[in-house]
Amino acid sequence: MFDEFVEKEDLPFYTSGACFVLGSIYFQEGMKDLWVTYDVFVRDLPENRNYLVFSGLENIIHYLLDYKLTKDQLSYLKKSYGFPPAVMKYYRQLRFSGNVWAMPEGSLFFANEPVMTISAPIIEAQLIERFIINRVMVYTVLASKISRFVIAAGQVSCGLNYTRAQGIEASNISLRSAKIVGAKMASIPYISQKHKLKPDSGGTTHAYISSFPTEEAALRTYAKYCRGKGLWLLDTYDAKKGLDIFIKVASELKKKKKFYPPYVLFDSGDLVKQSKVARKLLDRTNLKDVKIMLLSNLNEHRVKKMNQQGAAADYYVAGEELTTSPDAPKLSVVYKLSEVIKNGQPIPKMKLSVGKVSLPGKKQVFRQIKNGRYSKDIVGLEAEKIKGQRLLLPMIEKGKLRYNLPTPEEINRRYEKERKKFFSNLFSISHKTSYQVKISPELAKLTQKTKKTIYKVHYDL
Amino acid sequence: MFNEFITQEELSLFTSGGFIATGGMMVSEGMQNLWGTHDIFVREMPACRNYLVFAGLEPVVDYLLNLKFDQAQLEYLKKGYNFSDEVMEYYRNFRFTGDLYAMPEGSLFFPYQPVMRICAPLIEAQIIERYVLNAVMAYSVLTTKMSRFVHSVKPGITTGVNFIRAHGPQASAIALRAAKSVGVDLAAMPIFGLRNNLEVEKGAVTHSFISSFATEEQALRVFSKYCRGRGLWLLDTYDSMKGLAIFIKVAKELKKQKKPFPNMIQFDSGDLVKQSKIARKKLDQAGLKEVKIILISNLDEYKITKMYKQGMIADVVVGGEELTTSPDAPKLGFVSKLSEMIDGSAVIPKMKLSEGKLSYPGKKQVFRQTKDGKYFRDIVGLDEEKISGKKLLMPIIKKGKLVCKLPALQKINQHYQAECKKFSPALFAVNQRVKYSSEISPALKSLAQKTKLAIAKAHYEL
Repeated sequence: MFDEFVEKEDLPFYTSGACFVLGSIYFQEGMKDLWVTYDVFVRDLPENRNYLVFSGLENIIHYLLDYKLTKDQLSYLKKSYGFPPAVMKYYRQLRFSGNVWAMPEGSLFFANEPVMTISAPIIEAQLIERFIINRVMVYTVLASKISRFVIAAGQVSCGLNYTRAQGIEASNISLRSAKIVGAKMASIPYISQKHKLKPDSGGTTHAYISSFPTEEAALRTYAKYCRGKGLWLLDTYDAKKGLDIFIKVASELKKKKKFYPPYVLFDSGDLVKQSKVARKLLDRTNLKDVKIMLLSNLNEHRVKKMNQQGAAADYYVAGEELTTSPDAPKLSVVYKLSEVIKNGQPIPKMKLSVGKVSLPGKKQVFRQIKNGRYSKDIVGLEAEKIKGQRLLLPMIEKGKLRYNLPTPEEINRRYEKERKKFFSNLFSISHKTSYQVKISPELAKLTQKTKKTIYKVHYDL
Repeated sequence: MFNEFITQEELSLFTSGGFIATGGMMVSEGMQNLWGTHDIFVREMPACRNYLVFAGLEPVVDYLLNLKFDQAQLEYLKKGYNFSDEVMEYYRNFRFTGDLYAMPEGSLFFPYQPVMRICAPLIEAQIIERYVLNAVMAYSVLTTKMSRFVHSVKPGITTGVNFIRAHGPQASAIALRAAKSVGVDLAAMPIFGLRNNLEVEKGAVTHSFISSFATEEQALRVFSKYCRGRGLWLLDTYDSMKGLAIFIKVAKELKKQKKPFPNMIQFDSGDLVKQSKIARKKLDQAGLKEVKIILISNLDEYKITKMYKQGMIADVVVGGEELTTSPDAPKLGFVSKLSEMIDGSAVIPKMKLSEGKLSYPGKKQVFRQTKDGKYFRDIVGLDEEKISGKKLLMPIIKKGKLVCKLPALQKINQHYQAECKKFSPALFAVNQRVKYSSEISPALKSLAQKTKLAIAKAHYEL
């Protein structure tokens, strides 16, 4: 059987075989102590995004702190690449010994801003590239997408059905992303168990309802067991008639002071119209306490429109439109060399190829504020004195954790606080707004100089 | 720490709490022997697809055969849902005891065709739904995308995929399996090589490797020393045309000295077509005909088609996130719908009537019909119907036991290749929409009519 499951100890092999081959060349050429600095950033925002939400850092940090090749991995390397004993010894003892600076998770970021900078011995720095790119991409894609949805939903609470994602791990990532950006209902028993969260009481299903001779019998049975929790589907057969049955049964049970499901759910047809009718009829029959959940293939554009049309929703629950982020399912996260440190001396490096330029030097991002609102970001050199909040913070120093990793709830609080400091037009889902990001004069100067040096050294120009 | 990794054992709780809760109610109400048949299908073809490739059966089968709740999961259920002893006893003995019929992996399929038909006790059928849908969607989305990519590349050209930018490492694994099942040539990563005994990835050089040397030439000389005549060289770390000149100079010299040099060169930025043409010409002139050209970038079937029109010369083409995330169709609305209920000896056809979410009742089969050696039409009918054509749904699991031998990846690829050849080539056009005919049999249509009336009558006394 093809085993698709990936466990944490497998991750050192989530890399390219070439990185091990090149590592052995560095080692044999006596270059293993050469340090390098890499920037992790995105060159362009996707067309449908005004901002991105940085996410995935926690996993990267744990991966780096626990980095170690297993016995099986070492024997695979030996067998596959035939490395000499000295190289094998190096790989056996390999741990991450570098420095990581990063934006805190939940930070908003923009094109060309490093979200992480990593300084490490060159062999380590290359081996970790793929996992870091993968992590930053998938977490950021999903957090950014769900962020748009939650903001568009406004006062209405949000939930997520995680079933249709690109794999179960992607489902899990979308659930964590949802929490970070404030979606309320995002759980799955397997995660609740693992993370000791409240169990997901969940709803009923069309199949459950269909298994009874009548809708009413199904509802009466469900009500008997639901202990005043859970939700009821109205449109197994006909939503309008399903609502009548619910109201009849629920009012009767309420009178008798018995339990009934506190939520009703529509998942097909004209959701706005149905929710309005339901709200009116529920209120009229003294069922004001029953909340309405609308579930369908919702996304930020649909909930915005539904809010404008006056949908009477207490909850919007979305699915694959969020968990696969179809309007921006990928992000070209890159990992680019910005300096090589030889004998303690940094040599700035950059890429010059067409459309793929990167900036040299050890960088910092400065976020400037004006009248209480963020006005622009400056990408400069770490050594520069530029006003504004420094976004890149030390996370790992010489392989040791130097940062208190926040919980998803703390990340969410930070995200909400930060978000309010940006102008609200940044969060428009249909208008393109571009937040200002500038390169500092010092960095611009270093870029010019590095370009010239590279041309001179390599091409005698 | 938030742990997103999941093991096979944990999958039994990859479900909705609602399913577990309603399962408990059904046990308490004595309904655990009520069986149901569910069809897994998609209602619509994504706008930019002519066909879909079914994949993900193997992981689903593996999951079903191993499904059970372990001690820790049972304790969680007890604590979280406060089930009675009777319900807990039911979950302790919980296994998949149903039947699974499915299309073989690598089969092409179309909307409203069940790719799987699962007949099982309703409680089981509900609990497995989430994982089944997740697996079938993720595998089929990525396999279909990889299939389009391979079809866009002319025969004789090597294809490759870089798996980094996927929706997590597990999605990378799914993409890698997808690539192999439709015949991508270069699909390897050490993590999956080790776990699944696949080929070793030989790999290339990186821009960082080149940058870490004082000059490009020096980096190339060191790399040549170790490459044993394999491996590939990047030309565009600084300037691709100057990089090409350096490569030719060093490779010619090493060739004369009968020393190894990298046998492939790669462009990954700028105008790939133009650069590939110049490189081929200059390499040939310098007596380096054996050096192969790799084009790697954010390639997909659309770009490949366009690059052919512009006269690209490549020996190898390699794609990345455009294939591993399938941005033009990153999702598929796979659904699991109840088509009949079995209560003892009574079989009651079921269907969904809600707006835009229609499903068909009854135990179904898909019949694929051939005319002049080519497939020309599918009929979705009832299993017991006598319709000409190949039956696509095959028995995989019966009463919880595997009744067939699941094919290895190479076998899946062979099946896929053989099937593709039987469809009209027009179906594989990258840019043209072609609709393959898939019809509902008259008997199924009339059962749907009858079921609709019966439901309306039973529930609303019309």
